[in-house]
Amino acid sequence: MNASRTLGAALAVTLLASTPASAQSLFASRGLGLPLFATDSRVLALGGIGVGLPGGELSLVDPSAPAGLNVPSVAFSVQSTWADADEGGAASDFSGTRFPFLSLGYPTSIGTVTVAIGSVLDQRWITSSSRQIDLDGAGGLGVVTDRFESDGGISAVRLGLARTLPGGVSVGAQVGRVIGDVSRIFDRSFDSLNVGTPVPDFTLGGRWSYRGWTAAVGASGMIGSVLMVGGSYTWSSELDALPDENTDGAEGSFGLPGELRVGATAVLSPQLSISGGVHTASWSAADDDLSVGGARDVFSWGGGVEWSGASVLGKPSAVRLGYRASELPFTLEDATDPTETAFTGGLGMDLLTGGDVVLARLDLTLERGLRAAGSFEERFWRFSTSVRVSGF
Amino acid sequence: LKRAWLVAGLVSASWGLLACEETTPTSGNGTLIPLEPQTVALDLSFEEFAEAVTVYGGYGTPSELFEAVLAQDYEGVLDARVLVRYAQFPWAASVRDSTGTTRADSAYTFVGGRLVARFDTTEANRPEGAVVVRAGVLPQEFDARTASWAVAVDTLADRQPWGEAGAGPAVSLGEAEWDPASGDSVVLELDSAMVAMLGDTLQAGPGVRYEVLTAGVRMNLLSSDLRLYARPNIHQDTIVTLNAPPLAQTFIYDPFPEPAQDGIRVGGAPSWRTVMTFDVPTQLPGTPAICQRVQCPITLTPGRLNNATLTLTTAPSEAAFQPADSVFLDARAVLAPELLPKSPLGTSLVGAPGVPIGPDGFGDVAGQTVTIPVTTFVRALFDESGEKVPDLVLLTPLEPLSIGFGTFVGPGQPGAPRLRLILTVSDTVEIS
Repeated sequence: MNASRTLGAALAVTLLASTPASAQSLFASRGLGLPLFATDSRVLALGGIGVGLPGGELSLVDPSAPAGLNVPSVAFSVQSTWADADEGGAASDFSGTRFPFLSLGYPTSIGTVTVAIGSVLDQRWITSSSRQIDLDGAGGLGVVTDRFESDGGISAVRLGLARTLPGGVSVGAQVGRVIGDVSRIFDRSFDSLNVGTPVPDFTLGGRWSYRGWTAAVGASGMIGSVLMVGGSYTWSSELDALPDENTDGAEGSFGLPGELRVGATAVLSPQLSISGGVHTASWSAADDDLSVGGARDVFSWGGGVEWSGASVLGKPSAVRLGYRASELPFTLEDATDPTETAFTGGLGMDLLTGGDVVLARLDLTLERGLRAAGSFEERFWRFSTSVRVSGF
Repeated sequence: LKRAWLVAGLVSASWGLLACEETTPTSGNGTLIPLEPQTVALDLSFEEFAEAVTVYGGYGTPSELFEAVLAQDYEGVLDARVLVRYAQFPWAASVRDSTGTTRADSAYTFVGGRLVARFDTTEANRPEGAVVVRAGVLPQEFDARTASWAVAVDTLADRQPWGEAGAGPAVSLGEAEWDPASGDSVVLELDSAMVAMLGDTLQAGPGVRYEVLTAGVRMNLLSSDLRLYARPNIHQDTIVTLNAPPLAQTFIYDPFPEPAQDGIRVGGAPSWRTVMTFDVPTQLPGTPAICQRVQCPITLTPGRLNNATLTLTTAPSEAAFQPADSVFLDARAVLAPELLPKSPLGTSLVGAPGVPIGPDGFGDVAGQTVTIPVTTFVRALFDESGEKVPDLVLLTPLEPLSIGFGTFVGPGQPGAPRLRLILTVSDTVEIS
């Protein structure tokens, strides 16, 4: 009874924290949006690949990772972004906070059962421009301001099971739904048509909800006493976009990628490890489905160093440094392949321990990154906080 | 365990506060907009967007106007007289007797009285010089709502012509000269015989006809009072003043301005309205320049229509009926055309107080264009879900507003009504 009550409290916290994600990047305007890192802060600090890392974690990218959990746990992440964009000399800036990852793990006799929700794609962006138009083809000029706003995103919700097999190999599988929605609104305001009366805005657009299936499998284990390796594969069905009853636009269907992650960690000493990994995603599956721009297969790599011998405020802590380089999948007519790179640094603190179990852990990561495509650059600071609470 | 929850909560809350400012990434790069809507303006002639205009009259009566009109051969045409019915003479007066006690005295004797008339002295309504005003006792009862130059009463079962056109014959109560430069009022003194004559029409109530005798004048009577002087029976060395307030007032005029065929007229007293029957085609041809940008013919749909304005051109009103002040123009849908001229109307398309048009627009500087927003009306013509209302009525928001009316160029003439449509043609917004 007490356990279920605390489990309920944890779920409540999870749901409370699951407010809509806020905008991340102007690159969200391309294709299906900006791919997001649905990981905790530790993974971000160590290169962002998220597989082959020691320690039982709640994860959407490594289904086998929760096998190491031996107490009920809940984890969530909060990310704040501050970015400056330069579009061929036109500067803009923006900021926002989002909750990219929430997960609950509960050890049972057959393994660790997990429920997780994580962000997959961000589709929140606005573009606006003013220009003069010739209304009647005879020099009757007017000024209009066009504004297009996309507001939404795509997430994945998965139910998973992870367990450690005899011999020490951890395996896991997750299955779930890809969900989300987006509103896409075009608005043209007429600033000075000189018609003697105010002209109401011309507005059209609609809202679509996303539906799809997703599943992931993963495995990890030690090779000897030094090297831990892991990998995962994520499959997704076609993503269906269904218009609501007030939307004139048609429904759509988009191919989602298969994603392969492979990573490894070398434990150089009990307190020092180095990890790295690669990630590929076959986003070209969506290329034919996009009406604007295109999509391509992308490759990412990243890695980092973790030293866990530090102490902050008397708490056992870990210091991390890392780097990652990613290709972004969606291109515009500029045909310039966009990329994202980031240097990362982080700190993890075991706030409360009970015996050998970490009951509360806080991970902080700061990233300095650059997204670029030709003359379009976007530099960002991103600060991530992850909290994991266990033992309720 | 509580500490763990506490720490986690504090960290989450503090972090949420740290980055609470939310700004969506906004690009000034218009090429990111995934569609290219085209906005065009089309100008339709009357024949292209409407079938006919019909002028209806008789809305309201002159008695509803605050200002009553006096005119004598104005612009060589117009005569107008004001008719006022005062209350019955008071039957008693409160008088202090020789003991100092105030008592009601009904046995007093009228020894005289006066009519006090106050006129409009605003620039446009003031005579240029002194004028002579005459008052006379009305010979018969009149109905303020239906009285006209020829008829005193014109109700459903009762039609009583004047003995003489123009609310005559009236027995003169006297004349007085009013010079606008010296004030806004004129006083006509009445002797006891006149008061007796005035009070003799007990059934009809005391009625007075005011007229201006100076030719070429049109002016407004704002108010008139009848004051009576009486000597009380109980205190015969005292004169008391009694009032007989006006109960009803109207003005009658001649000639009645019949509207021109195919003209457009609003205002006046009683007021005129003009009903315009629209027939906007669904397929609009477009001009060659426009057809280079959008596919022609252009199908008109409610969603594509951004703005519709009706453009009218002012025309000179008949000289005697040119408005002295601004005319406010309103436009409404006729909700039940089969009930015209008494159809209920929709809400104002213009909004209060209407489109103002200066009086010069109907006189010296006629030819001004007036723009009336009719977007909602035209959009409804193409709304599949609702019943189509093709008739639009042009009127003044208040009826009547003045004896003057506004005139606009009708169809088939230079300056005829035009309909300007602003359309945005666009593909639908699609998903990615």
